[in-house]
Amino acid sequence: MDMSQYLRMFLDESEEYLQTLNQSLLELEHNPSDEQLINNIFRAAHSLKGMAATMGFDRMANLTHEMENVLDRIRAKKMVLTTGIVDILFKCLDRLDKLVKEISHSGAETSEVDDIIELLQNVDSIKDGAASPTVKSTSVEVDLMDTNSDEQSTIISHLKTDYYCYVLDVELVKDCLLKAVRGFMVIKNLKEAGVVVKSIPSLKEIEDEKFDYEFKILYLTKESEKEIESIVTDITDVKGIQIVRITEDNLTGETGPYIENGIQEVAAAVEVASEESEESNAQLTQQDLKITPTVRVDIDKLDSLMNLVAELLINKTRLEEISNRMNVSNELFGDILQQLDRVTMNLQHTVMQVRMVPIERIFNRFPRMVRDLSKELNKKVNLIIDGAETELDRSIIDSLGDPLVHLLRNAIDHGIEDPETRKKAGKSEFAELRLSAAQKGNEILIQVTDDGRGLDAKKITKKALERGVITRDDLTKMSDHEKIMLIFRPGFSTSEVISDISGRGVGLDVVRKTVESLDGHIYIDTELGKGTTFNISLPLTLAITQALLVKVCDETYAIPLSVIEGAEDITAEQVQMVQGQEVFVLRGHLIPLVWSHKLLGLSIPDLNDNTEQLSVVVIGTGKKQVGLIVSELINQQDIVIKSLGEFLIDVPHISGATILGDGEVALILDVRNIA
Amino acid sequence: MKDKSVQAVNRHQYVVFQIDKEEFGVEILRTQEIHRYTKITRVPNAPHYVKGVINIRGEIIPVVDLRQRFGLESSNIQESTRIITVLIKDYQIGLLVDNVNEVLWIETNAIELAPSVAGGIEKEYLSGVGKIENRLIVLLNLEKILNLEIATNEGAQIN
Repeated sequence: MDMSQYLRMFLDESEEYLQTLNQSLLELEHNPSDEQLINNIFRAAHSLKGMAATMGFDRMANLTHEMENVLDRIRAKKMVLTTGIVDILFKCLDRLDKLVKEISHSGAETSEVDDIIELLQNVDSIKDGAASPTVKSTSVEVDLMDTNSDEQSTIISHLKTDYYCYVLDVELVKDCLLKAVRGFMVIKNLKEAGVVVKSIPSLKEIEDEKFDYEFKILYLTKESEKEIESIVTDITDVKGIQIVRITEDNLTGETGPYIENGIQEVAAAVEVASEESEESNAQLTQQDLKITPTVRVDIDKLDSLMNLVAELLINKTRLEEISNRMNVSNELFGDILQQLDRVTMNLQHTVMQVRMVPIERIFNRFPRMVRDLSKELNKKVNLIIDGAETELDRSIIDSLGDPLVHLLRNAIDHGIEDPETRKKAGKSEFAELRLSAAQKGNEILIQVTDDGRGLDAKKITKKALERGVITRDDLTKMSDHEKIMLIFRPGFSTSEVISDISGRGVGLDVVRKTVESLDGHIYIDTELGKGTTFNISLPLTLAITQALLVKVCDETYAIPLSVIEGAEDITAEQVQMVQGQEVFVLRGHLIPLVWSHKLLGLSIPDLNDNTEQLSVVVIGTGKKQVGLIVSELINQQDIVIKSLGEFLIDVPHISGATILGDGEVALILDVRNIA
Repeated sequence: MKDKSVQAVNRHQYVVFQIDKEEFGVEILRTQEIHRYTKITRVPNAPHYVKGVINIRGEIIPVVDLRQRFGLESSNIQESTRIITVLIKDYQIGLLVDNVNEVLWIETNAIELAPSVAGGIEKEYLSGVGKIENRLIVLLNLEKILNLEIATNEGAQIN
């Protein structure tokens, strides 16, 4: 059977399940008694096992199977969840992750899993001790109890009318040939004598033969246990049945010693349903929402869709321009143009929406990383994540992972002090590391904040001088903020000891490069002894943006609106010289001026005849403002950003190009690094 | 006569174009389209031989002035001026040439190793010289012509 078409789906889903596992396990470490979490982990592990087995990846299947066994004992309270076990489970997840990566690269599993399996089995025997190892199947009972509100109310109403509630565990003989048929018959016969609330696997799966040799049924009937047993065991190939009754007592919370943990859960679930049905309904709906069916689309297809929309937009603009130029006053033509405008706008908006994904995608992997790292470095860190639901263009999100990893590592390694130092400084032992995302207008602001020692401008400059990043002359001209920004220079590292976590002197430099390649910028707020915040602001999408069109020496350039703080017309007299730098005063602030033609290396300062009047575009780069003198301001317009291609990727001050209404190309000015 | 038969097929088609009086050829499989001259938007701070960028059906394509690349005087735009777009390592680049003459089959064994200088162009930029009757067609090594400069360019631009 050709599996290749399923492979991609398998990989995607495995990744998701692994992420869920990682997350839930982390939470579980903090709330070891949260049964909901254990159930989540179970479901994910179980699904993963099923998928791996279907695809024929035995190592993955074996590993998840062992993992399930351990989890099962924890769930059945036969084993206490210790940090040691969590660590082993994390190791297991890491190996699974590795296997998934190997499969995605080569289509086969290459890593061995025996070592981890052994670990898992040892955990089993050591911790299990007295408890009898009777539990055969794994996640079954848990899933069985994951009843929805309809099922719960069915149970409650039947229990009130002389029905009994049972959990049936039906086992077929191993060499049974027609499992599906036998399973179907069991259920059919049971249905004749009562109500089958739920089965694990589901009825459909049983009919499709998607089960091993046993399945479980949550059953309501007026018959006795004996009666049920005879109904079921009359069927050929049924090896045996275990029947556990759920009584009124169980339902009110008093659990007999003979009752399995799974049944306690039923009791609990039913109890919750009867007493706080509203709340549990709300909870369940929330869960349902999380698994809304989606279509997986190749990102390349979305890219080409975006390109098509962009092309449409360009042609629309051209059409408008022609209509303006020809002075067409045909009403119909105007109508059509308006319609076209509306449709392209909606289309563009929708395509952009489709490309947006919550930043959760990358945030989710950080709790785990922070946990491991803080353990390794003996620091106590509380990671707080805000705004994980904030949406960003998929292509931006994908390249944002590494920079954020760098910043978080940096914060834990350098920013946050060890617990003793923190105590001495009168801070809580637990450092607070906050990762937040929020939309601000047309931009996304991502912040990494720690309450650590803060950045010391003196230390930074000392280091920068030692490393030859700057000269003493440079230093005298620098503000404190500029000094701190030195840490983004290539070849800079403040750590005394170079660790393998950070401090290779490449991290922050790369962070800045990546952020800027995404058309965003990064700046720092810091206070000595109080902490540091790295702010990254990014455009919502890379493809289409609003820009101001300006003329420089007879050529049209576009400046993204996101960096523009205003436009001013000033007279030549307003230009003053301060320390060899041309400046002008805007609302009480001195703003340095930059001539755009000089910036671009163009020869003629082609100002309008009226040299008295200068058009200045005020650019905001983080905390700094710079006035860019251009020949003329044209207008504001939606532009489609196009890359100049690899061939011209490193041209300074030009970040891309766009096509104007008349079909000509205008270059996009990259003004964040000026001045 | 030394053979420069690199490939098994013993003849290839070449697009033959003209710069000054010299005839040059690029393999037809590398070429995408031939365009009439269209307005080129210059790119400030780009390497000197990059004339600028053009828009071809919504794609932004850099245009290299081969004359300037070879250290000749920059081109005068004439009626016959053409831009040949070629595909190099998955991205398109336009070559600005004086004239496009024809498409020719050239036998592999009619291609000779490049002399040290041909048409004022150094040997390393050439992949050979094709002989057809009395004509000599200088075959260009596009990777060399464009790549080499990319490498040095990158080195210079990091700051």
